[in-house]
Amino acid sequence: MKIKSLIIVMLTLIALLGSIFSGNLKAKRNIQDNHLAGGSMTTFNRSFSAFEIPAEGLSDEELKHHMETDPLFGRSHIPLNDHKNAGLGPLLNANSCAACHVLNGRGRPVHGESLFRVSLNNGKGDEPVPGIGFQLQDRAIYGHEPEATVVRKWIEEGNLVKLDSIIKTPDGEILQKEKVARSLRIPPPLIGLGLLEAIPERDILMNEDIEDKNNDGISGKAVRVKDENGIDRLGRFGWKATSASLHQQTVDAYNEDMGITTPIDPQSNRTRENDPADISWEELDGVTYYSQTLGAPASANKLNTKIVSSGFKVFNQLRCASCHIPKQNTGFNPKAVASVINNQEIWPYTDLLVHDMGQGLDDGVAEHGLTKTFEWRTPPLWGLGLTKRVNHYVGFLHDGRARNIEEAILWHGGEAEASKNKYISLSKNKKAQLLAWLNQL
Amino acid sequence: MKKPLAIIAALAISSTVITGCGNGPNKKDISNAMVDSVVLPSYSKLVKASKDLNKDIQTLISNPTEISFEKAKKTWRSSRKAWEITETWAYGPAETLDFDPNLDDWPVSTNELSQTLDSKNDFTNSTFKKLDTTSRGFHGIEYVLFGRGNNSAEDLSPNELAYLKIAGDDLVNNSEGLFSSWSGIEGFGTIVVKSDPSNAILDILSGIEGCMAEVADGKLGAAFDTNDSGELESTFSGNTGNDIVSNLKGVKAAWEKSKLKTYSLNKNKSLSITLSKQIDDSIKLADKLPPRLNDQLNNDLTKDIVDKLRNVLNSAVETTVALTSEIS
Repeated sequence: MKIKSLIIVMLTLIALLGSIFSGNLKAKRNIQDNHLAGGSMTTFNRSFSAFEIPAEGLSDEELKHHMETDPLFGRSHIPLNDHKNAGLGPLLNANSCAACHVLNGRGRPVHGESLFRVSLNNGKGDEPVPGIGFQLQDRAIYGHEPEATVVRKWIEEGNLVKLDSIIKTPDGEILQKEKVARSLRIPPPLIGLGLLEAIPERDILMNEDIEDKNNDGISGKAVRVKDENGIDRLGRFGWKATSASLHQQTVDAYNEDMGITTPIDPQSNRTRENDPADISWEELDGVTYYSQTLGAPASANKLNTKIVSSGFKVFNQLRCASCHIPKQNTGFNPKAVASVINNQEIWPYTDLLVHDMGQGLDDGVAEHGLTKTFEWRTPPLWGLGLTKRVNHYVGFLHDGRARNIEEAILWHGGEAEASKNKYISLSKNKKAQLLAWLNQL
Repeated sequence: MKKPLAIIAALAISSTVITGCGNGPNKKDISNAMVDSVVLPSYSKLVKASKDLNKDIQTLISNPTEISFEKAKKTWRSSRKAWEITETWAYGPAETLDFDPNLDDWPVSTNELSQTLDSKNDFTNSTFKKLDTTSRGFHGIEYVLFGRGNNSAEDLSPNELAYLKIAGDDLVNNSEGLFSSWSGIEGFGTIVVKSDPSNAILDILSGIEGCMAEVADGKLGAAFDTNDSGELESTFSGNTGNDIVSNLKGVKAAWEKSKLKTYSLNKNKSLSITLSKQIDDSIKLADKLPPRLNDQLNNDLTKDIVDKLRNVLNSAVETTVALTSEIS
């Protein structure tokens, strides 16, 4: 069941809280209220459906469009007859967006909710695996064989766990780890994506410091990618920031995760290869719009509470905020899909840059060579405390190996090694303060 | 004597503050009732309904007559009630452990399913395992019983019978798994819902709101706004209208049997009475829907009922949102 409500924002925002709340919001923004994670797009529902709530601040028309596009995100796809390989597949990882993004939350590291990125294990992780490419499709429609099947096994490493896997092709060949690097990826929660997309590139680049010229031990690197139109853009979505826009991310998900081809523009029903597209531009654009107009949940506690002041203080003392930059501002785009996206002060706790995260998180896969194998985009932290509330499961980091926030911290290495070590040396009380604050985001 | 009286008075006041009402149910009562009086009985009925359907399917397989064929179809329809009534509390394991798609994915992948059923190769467990959720569950069975032009039991092919045998067992397994996931001291009902009454209330209200919105905007809106019957569920059996009635009866069960209605009356009488009436009105309107909706998209009488039903449901969603802000 998808949880949606056309009226939530209509009533709550427009009729009851609308102008009053907007006024309060502006006042609070002036004192930097990190409670309002998504600025005017902040949502206030912390139930199991917290990540499915449309953003506050949408106009009536925008909200209506959001509700119309919601079912597209949950739609199960099937093979069709229109043309060769029409519809789902033949190779795939899942049959719908919602199959992995369960309740729009963090997926589990299980078959059907996650996928493997792979590469030849050449040290750089930038060469595709022959016959597979960079993403392993471990499912297929009836009558076809998946590229390979994967046996997943979690093994103890100290007090932590790490994934071991056996990849077997349909002809029985086991792809040895020495030859094929593999990196499990769980889907991240869909929070405030339209806001992240609207952070100006110059703001992100301001924090880039590839050579660590300021000698703070943090480099931060922007990922440059070509978007679907071949234009150089700054990558900001995905575990390694390899997608520049939500539109591109949506296209990639349809193509790679579901085996569904997409049209190249609104006037065409054909793909870049001039084949008939499996879905319409309207559907592609609709799913993109849906993800752009989701909200970001308010933190559980307000700014002036002890849990916030003490935890946030520790967060800064450990210099977590060097990469998990608390506050960002969106720019102004007259063509924004919803005007409320513009000029917002938001609290995502990310710099959208990739960082060296150390050997422990090096899976050997670099994805098209756009990053190093040990580099990961700083994941946003907003909504972190709702993870278990929404999905009744906790698995952090790219492959869900961390069973709680503390384990996620302990996996930090590379540029974050110093922060991790500071965390380890904290008193029990200080650790509790930090974790309590993170758990209420 | 004054001191004990003062203490008693203080205790009484504090009790009222904690519960919100001296005599009414408190949050703990609601979370307990939701698990013990709503969810577990419903999933228990689902298990029974699945077993009943499977039993009639297995009878059809061993003795394919007109009587056994019609009985299996009839039981399929009745078993749908047991599932659709649970949509309001599909949060939790139904969603997060994939029981929902395994039991109720839609649309049916007719190409894949037909390919396996029309194949010269025998349909086996191995074949079934290769099928996606869109070829299993209630709707996979529905397609074979109602949707393949089998006018009599004699028309059912060996592969169709083999499919039904495996799919019937699979349906029972998933129903039992769902019931089990909520049950016992390690179950979702105890460790999540009962242990966190405040959030339980929020989830119940979100479930009520979500189910009504889905019926209004998703199940009915998508089809009637676009004149596309492909968006309607259960079209092979023509059971769409009945599915919707069951959805709304589930809303009523979550509202009343969880004691949330009584609790809410003490918080905001006006909104609670309004919501109760809207839920009842929606069920009355849904009862007027023809069970087979897919050929009624242009029928003025049906469209009128659908419009009225959607209006009531949208108003009920508004009421639920307002009530949520009052009591959570």
